Amino acid sequence: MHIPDNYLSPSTCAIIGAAMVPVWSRCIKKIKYEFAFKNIPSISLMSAFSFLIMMFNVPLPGGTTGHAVGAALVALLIGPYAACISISVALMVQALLFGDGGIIAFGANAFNMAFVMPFAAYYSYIVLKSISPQKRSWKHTSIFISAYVSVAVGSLIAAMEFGIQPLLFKDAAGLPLYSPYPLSVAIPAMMIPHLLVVGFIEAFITVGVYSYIEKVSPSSIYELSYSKLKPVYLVLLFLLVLCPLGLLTTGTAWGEWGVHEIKNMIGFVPKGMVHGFSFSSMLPNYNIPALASKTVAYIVSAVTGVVLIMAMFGIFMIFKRTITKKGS
Amino acid sequence: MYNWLLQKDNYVPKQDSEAFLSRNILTIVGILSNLRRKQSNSTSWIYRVNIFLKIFFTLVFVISLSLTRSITYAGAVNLYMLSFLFFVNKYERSRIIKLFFSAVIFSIVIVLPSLFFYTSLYNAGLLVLRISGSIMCVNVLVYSCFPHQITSGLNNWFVPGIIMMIFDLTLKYIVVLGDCAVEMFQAITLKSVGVNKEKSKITFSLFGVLFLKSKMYSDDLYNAMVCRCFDGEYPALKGKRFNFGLSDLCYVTLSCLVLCVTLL
Repeated sequence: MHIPDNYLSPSTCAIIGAAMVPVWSRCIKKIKYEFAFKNIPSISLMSAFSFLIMMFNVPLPGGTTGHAVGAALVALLIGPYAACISISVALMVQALLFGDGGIIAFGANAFNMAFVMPFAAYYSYIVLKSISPQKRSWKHTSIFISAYVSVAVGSLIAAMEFGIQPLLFKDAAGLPLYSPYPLSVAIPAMMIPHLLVVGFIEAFITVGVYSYIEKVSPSSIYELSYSKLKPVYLVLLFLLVLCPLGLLTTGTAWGEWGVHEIKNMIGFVPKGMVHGFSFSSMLPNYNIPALASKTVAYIVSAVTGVVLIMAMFGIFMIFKRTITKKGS
Repeated sequence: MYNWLLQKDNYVPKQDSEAFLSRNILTIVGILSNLRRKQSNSTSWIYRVNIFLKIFFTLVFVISLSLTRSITYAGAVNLYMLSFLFFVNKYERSRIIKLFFSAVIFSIVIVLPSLFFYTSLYNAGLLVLRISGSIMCVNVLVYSCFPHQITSGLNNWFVPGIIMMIFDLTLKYIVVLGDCAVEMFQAITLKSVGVNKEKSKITFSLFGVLFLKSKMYSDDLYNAMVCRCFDGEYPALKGKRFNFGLSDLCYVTLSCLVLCVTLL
């Protein structure tokens, strides 16, 4: 899953790298709070551990071997925040000293493997474990599923990063400048091997090592902290991540036809619709007149929508807090 | 003497997959030997070039490669980086060549099917050259200096002391934990003479032991740091004075020539 340089455009790498800055900042703050100033040796050792986990080969059926990312294991053992920093450092060592994973693409690699994967594993484990917290067998099943989910989500994000390149970065002839495969090719190409092989390796290693440590030294395992994040936010985050999949679709969703489409379909426009209520929105059909590319316009519309919803939600929360304060 | 002791024993061991054990040992030994490379083995001028300049020009070449649309420039950078093979030690040379060809073959395999979609040989060739060029740039940097030099080089790039400390400690503990892992893998190999069906299970235990060891080392290191009056502050040591020597001049001139001649 290590993306080398030049598969992603420099601007994609810069944007994803910039998105990682607040993540690292939040993780460092959280680690300082959790580990006090024991953090430096802990992070360094866990980075070395993460690095070695990525290097180890495990036997696979048929005499071959494979290796895991170890993101789920590290997240469950030391917590997602410490895992994010330690995997980032391990990726930095790989990029700078072993040429594994690009230097410009470091931010993108860190986003996929140090942020998305550990957090996906950790929170899916919390959600799954809460179904039956007492059952030991269910706990191990939850670990297995969460490790598998982390690989699936990580590879999906990486595939999307690859897949949006030919849509966004083309030369004058319309040919791709970076990764040449669109979403329709990149997603199956990345997902199939990860879902069929890598996901299971990651899941087996995570369950195997976790069970061993739980048996030998249970106090070494990170205590689950149920943060305030509700499952609904996870669902929203997942849907947000899936947004670029809309670029794959063609045509209009059932029941959302415009007047012209209805005319094409049934040959006439019902009278009520001809003289019905008409509203011209700011971004009709997610198109922005200033942007020539429909793909860019779609992504900008998605970002605008999310920012507007978050801003409205923020204003609502401030309003609610003010009323509560006045009331008390 | 018992008769059965004198009889010829036709022992044919059952087939047992042990490839992953030797592969793990080789991988980790490779990593450790890379991290333990000694400066004393090197006499070439390329090893004397200031690390600040090396990091600077590596970044310049990697960024310019990702921005360029000229196949001539990408090819020139590849050739320039390949020319460094004449100046590095034998071990480093073989490593760089191996990685270069792996990168080229891998990127060709990845890019080849795209020709059926877009039929642009130029763009496909450009992408392959850009990928191999950037991998060469990083490998020339990595194999023409030593791990501790990269850490000290980051100091000149105003990287916060805390990050450098984590980076440096990580490198040191990769070696320590790597040694432990090699010893444990060798122990498993010895215990697996004949047939050992528990190998996979033992491997999980090995990861677990490694995690527990890293926890233990982390506590020891923390105690050692406290004993040495560690108070949570990480002031970065001042780097060496920047001496601009003949090797630095050669490196800068050659790099600027490649940049100017191919870009103009």
